[in-house]
Amino acid sequence: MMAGAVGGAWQEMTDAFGQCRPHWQPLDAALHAWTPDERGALGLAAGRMIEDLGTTFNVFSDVNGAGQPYELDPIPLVIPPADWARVADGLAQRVRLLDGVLSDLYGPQSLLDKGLIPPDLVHSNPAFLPYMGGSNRSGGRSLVFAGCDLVRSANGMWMVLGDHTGTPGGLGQAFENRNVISNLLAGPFAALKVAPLGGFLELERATLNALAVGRRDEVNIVFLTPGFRHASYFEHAYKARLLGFPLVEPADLTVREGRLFLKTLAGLRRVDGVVCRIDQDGIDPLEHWGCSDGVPGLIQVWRSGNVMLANMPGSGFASSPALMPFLPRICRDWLGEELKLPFVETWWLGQAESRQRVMDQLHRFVLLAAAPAGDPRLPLRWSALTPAARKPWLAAIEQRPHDFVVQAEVRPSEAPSLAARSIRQRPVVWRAFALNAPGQPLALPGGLARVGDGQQAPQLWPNQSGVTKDVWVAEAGDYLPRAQQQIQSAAPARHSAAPEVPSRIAEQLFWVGRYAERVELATRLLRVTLRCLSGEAGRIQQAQLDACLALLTGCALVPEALVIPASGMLKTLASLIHDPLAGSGIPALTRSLLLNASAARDRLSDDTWRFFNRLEGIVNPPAASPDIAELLHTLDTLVLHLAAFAGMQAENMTRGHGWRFLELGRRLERALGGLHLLRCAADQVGDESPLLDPLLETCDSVMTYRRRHFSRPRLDAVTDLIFFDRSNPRSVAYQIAVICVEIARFTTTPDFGLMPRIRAHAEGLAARFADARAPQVAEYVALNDALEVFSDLLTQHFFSHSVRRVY
Amino acid sequence: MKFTIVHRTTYSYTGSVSVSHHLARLAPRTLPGQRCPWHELEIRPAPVCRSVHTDAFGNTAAYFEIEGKHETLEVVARSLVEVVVLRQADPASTPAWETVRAACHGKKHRPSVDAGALRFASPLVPLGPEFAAYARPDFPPGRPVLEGLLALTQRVFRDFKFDPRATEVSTPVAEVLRQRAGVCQDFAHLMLACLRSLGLPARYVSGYLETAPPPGRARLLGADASHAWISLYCGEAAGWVDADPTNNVLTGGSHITVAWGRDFSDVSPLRGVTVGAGAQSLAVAVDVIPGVEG
Repeated sequence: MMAGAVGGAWQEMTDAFGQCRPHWQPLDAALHAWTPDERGALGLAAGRMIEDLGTTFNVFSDVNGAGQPYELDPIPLVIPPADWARVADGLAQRVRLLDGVLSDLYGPQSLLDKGLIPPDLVHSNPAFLPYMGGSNRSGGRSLVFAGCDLVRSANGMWMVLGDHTGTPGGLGQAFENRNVISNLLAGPFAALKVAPLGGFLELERATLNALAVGRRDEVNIVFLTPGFRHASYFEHAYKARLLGFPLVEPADLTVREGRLFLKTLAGLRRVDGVVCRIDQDGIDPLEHWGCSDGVPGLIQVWRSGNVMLANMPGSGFASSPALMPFLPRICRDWLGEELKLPFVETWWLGQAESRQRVMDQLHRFVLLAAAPAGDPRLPLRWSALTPAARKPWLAAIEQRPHDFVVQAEVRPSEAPSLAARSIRQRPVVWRAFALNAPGQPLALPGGLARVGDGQQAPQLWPNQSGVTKDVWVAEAGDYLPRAQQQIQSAAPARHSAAPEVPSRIAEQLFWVGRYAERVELATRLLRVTLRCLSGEAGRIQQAQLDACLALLTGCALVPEALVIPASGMLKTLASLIHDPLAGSGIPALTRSLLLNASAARDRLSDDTWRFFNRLEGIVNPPAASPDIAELLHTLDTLVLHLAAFAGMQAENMTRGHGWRFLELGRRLERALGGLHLLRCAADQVGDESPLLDPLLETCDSVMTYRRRHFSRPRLDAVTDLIFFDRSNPRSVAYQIAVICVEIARFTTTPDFGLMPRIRAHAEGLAARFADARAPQVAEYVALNDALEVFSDLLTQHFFSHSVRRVY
Repeated sequence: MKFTIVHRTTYSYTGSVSVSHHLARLAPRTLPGQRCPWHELEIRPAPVCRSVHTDAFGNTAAYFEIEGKHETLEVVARSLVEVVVLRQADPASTPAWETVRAACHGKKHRPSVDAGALRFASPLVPLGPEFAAYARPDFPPGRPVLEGLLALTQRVFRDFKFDPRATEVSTPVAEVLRQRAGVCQDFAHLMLACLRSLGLPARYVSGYLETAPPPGRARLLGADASHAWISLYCGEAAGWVDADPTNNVLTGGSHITVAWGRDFSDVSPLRGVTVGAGAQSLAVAVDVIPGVEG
C-alpha cells in the first residue's frame, strides 16, 4: 500500500460490503456474461476501431518520438448522477475562478495588492508572460476551455489533482473513445441513459463564435496546431474537424496591416479567432525570445483587439501547481463562496511557513515543479529517492524554493479494467473538461479516464500515452440542451462558408497524389517482376526478367549499378517490398505518402484515413522471410487498396482546390511514370522487345492491347496505346489532357503571377500529341524535364516556400 | 545637459524581402533626472502599419510592418534628451544587502516587493551557485548594498576583457564567466546573474553614452552603438542605482536610458522577422551630440 493512503482504495463498482453500486449494474451484468474469449475479442475490437480513427498512427514514432499510441480499455468509468451534479458545479466554479485569476494577473493585479497571491509566485514563474499584460483583452476571456484531473480519495470524494489551462488536451480522445464504446457496449449505454457529449461541441463552437472579434456578418475561426510532428497532432486534427474549424499551422497564417489572415489558394482570408493549441513559446517570434516559428505580429493583432486567442497565450500559468493552495481564499474573497471541489494537499515551497511545515515530512509527498513546464526530471516521489538522490534536490530547494511544490501522494479509486482476457481493478484519474461559456460555465458530462498501472503515484503517470477509458455520466438528464438554449441566443449566426484551402494543405495533397501514383507504379512493376520468377524457368522467362529489371532501373526503383545475382533475386525484391531502410522501395515511398497525408489529415474523410492506416500494416515487414506467393499476395492487396483510394478520391471528395491538387499530383506522376517506361522501351533494339509485355502489364493495359491487336506486343502499337491514346486513362496524352482541364479551372485570378506561364506550359505539352510521329529516347527525356519544370511552376505559384529569418 | 541622439540601423538583405514585421524599443524613457521632450522614428521603406504601446516594463515599443519587395531596411531614431545629474546616495548609508534581500519577500505590493520581481532567472540570465560564488567576496555579511555593487562593478571591469570577438548575442552567461571576456551586454548579464543569485533584484538597462567626451576625459567604450548596463535596487531610500561594468562607473550625466527589463530579450532595440531574405548584414551608427541641433 502506498504511504499516506488510509485504508484501501475506493472501489468504483462495489461498495464496502462488496455489493455492486446501482449505476454499475448494467455493466456488471455484461462483465459477468462475457466469456474469456468474448473479453479478448472486445479488447481487440476496441483497439481496431481506435486504430481506424487514427490516433494510434505511428508513422513518426521513429522520427521524433511523437504519435505514441494510446490504448482504449472498453470498460467505461461510470459516474453516478449525484457525483456528477457536485463535480459539474465545482468545475464550473473553478473555470470561472481561474479565468478571473488570469484576467486579474495580466491586468490590474489586484490579487497581488490584496496579498491573495504572493508576488514571487507570479514573477518567478516562466509560464507567466509579461508581454501578455495590459487590459486590452479581446473576447473578454483569458480562459475559454480547461481540463481538470480529478481523483477520488479513499472516502469517496472527487478531488482536484491538477489543472490544464494552457493547451488542454484530451477532448478529442474523449470523443473518439465515446464513438467506439457507445457502439461496442450499446446495451449498457442505453440502459444507463448516458449523457451525450455532442452538445458540448456545439456549445464550444457557439462560445468561440460569440467571443471572436467579428465583423457581424462573417466570423472565421481557425484551429492552430504546431504541426504534424507534435505528439497531439492527431487529437488536434480530430477536434478541429469536430468543431468544424480549419486546422492550420503557424506558416499558414500571416499578419498584414495589423490584422490576421489565412493564406489560401484564393488569396488572404481574414481570421477573427484562433483556437491556440500551440505552446506559448511558439506563438510569436517578435514577442517571445527564442521562438523561431510562430506568427510574427500575432500578439500585436491581439493587443489591438483585432483577434480572439483562446485560450490566451500565458493562460498556462493558471495550471501551475503552485497556485492551487491559494485558490480557496481567492474564491471566498471574490465569489463569496467556498471552493466547491476540494484539492489534493499541495504546498508551494516559496513561502517560509509552508516550507517549515512540510520539510520534515517530505516522505508523504511528490515533488513537483511550481510551473506547468518546469524541470523535466520532475515529478518525483520523495519516498522513492535514496538519501544520496535527495541531496541535490534539497540543495535546489534551499537555493530556489519558489521553483518547487509538494503534493501529497494519493491513492486513486479503482475501477474494473479489461486486461487481455481478464478483469482487474485498476486505479483511475478522471480528466474532466469545462467551458467558460457566456453566462454560465459548463462541464462536459463525461471525459477521459486514464488508467494507472501498479502502485505508481498518479502525478507520475504519462500524460500523452497509456490506457484510457470512456467516462459515462449516468442519467444526467438534459444538462447540456438546457444550457445550450441559453448560449445560442447570445451567439451570432455561424459563418456561411468554410474558409478556403490553406496553401500548405494544397501542397501536401499535391504530394499525396504524386506519392500514391509512385507507390502504384512500384507495386505493379514489382508484381510483374515477381511473376517472372514464379513460372517455369526458360529462355523467354529470363529475357522477361531482364526486361523487368531494366524497367525497375529506368524508374529509379533499383540503383543503376546494382547487379543482382540470380540466387539473391528474391531477397532483393522482398527488401523492396518490406524493408523500411531500402531507400527507393515501397516502404520508403509509403512513408512519404503517409507523411504528406497526415499533414492534410483534416481534409481526408474517415474512410480515406482508414485506407492510409491499413497501408502501413500491409508493408510492415512480416515475421518470417516471405516466399514468392506471399509477396505476390501482398502486392495484389496493395494494388486493390490503391485502387480503393483512387475510387474514394473520384467518388467522395468535393471538387474544391484540395481535390484539384491531389488530382494534378496524381496525373503529373502518372505521366512521368509512363514516360520512364516508354523511354526504356525505345532504348531497346527491335520492335518486339520482351520489355513490352511487362510494360503493358504495369500500365494495366494488357486487355486493351489484346482486344485491339491479337498479336505479340509491337513497339509502335504499344506507343500508340500508352503515349498517344487519349481514351486510355493510363496514357500520357490522357494525363496531360486532364492537367490542362484542371489548370483551366483556376479562374479566380487568371493573369496573376505565374498563371499565364503555367497555362502556356500545359498547352505546349498538350500540343505534342497532335504530331503522330513516335518520340525517340531524347524526346522522352525532354518531355520528362518539361513536366518537372511544370511541377516547379505550380510550386512557385501556389505554395509558399519562403525562408524566414528571426533577429 | 541636452543631447541630440541619432540612432541609425541599416539592414541589407541578399535577395529581396517580401514581408517583414518589427518591434523597436528606441524611444528614451522619462525618469527622474531624464526627460525626452521629442522623439521620432523614421523608417524606410515606409511601413504599411505602425503602432506604439507601452510594454510590461514601461518602455515604449513601436510595432511596424513592411510589405512589398525591399533589399534594405533603414530605421533612424532621433531623440532630444535632457539629463540632470542627480545626487547619488552615499554608499555607506545604504542598508545592508541582506536587509534589501529580505525586504523583497513579501505578501503584498510594496516598492521593495515590486522590485523583487527582478531577482529571478530570466530568458538570458540563469541563476546558479557559480555566480553567487563569484559575487560573494564583494558582499560580506552586513556590507551596505551600494558598496557591494561598486566593488563588484570594479571587479568585473578588472577581471573581464572587453573583446567583441569573444562572444555573440547567443553566448551563455556561464561561458562569459569562464572565458572572462565579452562586450557590454555580456558584462550586464553577468552582473545580473551574480546579483540575482545572491537574491538581490537587478535589471538590465539599454541606452546610449555621450559620443565625444568633455575635454580632459577619456572616451567611454560602447559610445558608437547601443550600450548596456545594469541597475540594482538598493532599498526604498536609494531606489534603483545604475552601474556600468564596462566602464567601471556609476551612471550619471553621460548615460541616456532607453529601456529596461529582465535582460536583453526584453529590450532589444530592433527585433524583426523577414520573409524571403537569404543572408543579411547589419550596420548600426549612434551619435550622441551635446546640445540641440536642427
